[in-house]
Amino acid sequence: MLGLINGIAIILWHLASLESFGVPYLYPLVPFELEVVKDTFIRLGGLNKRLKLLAPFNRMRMGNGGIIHTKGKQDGE
Amino acid sequence: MQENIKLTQEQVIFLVFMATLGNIVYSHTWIDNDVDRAAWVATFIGILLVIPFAVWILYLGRNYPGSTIFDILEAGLGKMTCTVVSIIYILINIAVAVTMLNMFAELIKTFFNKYTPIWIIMLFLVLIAAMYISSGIKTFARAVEVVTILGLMNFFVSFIFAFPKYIHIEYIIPIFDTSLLGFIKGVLFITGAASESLLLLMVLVGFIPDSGKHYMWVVKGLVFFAIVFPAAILVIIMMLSPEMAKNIAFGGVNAAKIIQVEEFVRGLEVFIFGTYQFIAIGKTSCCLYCAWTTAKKMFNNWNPRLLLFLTALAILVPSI
Repeated sequence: MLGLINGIAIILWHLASLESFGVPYLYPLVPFELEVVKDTFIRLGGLNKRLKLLAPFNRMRMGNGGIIHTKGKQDGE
Repeated sequence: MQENIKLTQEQVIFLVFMATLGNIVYSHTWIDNDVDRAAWVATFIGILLVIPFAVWILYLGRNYPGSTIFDILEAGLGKMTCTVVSIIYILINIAVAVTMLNMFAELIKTFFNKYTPIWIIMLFLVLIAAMYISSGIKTFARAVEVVTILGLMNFFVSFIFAFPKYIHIEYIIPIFDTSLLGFIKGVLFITGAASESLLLLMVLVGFIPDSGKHYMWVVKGLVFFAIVFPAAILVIIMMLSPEMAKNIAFGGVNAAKIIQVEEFVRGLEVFIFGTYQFIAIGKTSCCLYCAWTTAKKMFNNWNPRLLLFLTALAILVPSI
């Protein structure tokens, strides 16, 4: 039992230390982000936002190659 | 400050939770003679009394972003004073870790591995603790977050099976059947026990972004602990009776041991044991991290790996 829990603790540490392209392996559970957790189990909404972790100040995805958004901004919408 | 890393709110909350959840899990029964049935109330109030000290530490770090308390101390009172305080701080951390390891090793020896030499158990715990902190505060904070959640789930999931058969409301009513002096004594003891969290906060303050502004992160961590821990004590007292709870060690494991639902649900002390082990790993890591960080500062970041090895050894040798 002692060894089993030790093993679990080591695996958890390893998972916590893993990162893939700057995104932690356990994200969005650790570090916790409620907004993204809801899309982990059931995809709700259009997934039109970038991860807060990667782009905290530019959250909206471009969508359709950015043509519509760019046009919209130019038209002053 | 060697690492330019800022922690998130959840990481700070769980680190504070784990730092407070140290030897208090074993020593909380020491107040039972003074406070009797009001043990959980005294624990709740005692933990909350640590909040002003924690906020004070964060307030000190407000004007020195990215600095630990020892950087501030050096800037204010000079290197000599800082070195003396650092040595005392390292010794306190080692003492706390040694106590934690001894308490946990005794728990294992009593309930599970009777013939395993204690030094092996301690060696593995110190190795895992060293592994946890070797990859930096960010990974450590993430791991502590997962471990704490898992430990809490272990603890409370096993006690769900105690309802309603093993729960006796008459064991906690009347709540205040104790003297005021005894109650105050119990509250102050718990405040002292919970103040272990301040040791980690003295280092953690450098990793909290804008610490003066985000003091609520630490307050939330302490309040979270002040709710969860008395709840655990309450369940134990309701199951065992305050008279029995004050006379036995490792109340959680003993309480879980008596739970039996039909033929198949039994032996739930294994879950509680898991929680105790996660606490032992987390708390030893916290103490090791504090001692190591301060040692690195004292030796101007000279050979961190060697310092980590020596600090771990300084914890392991007195433990054995």
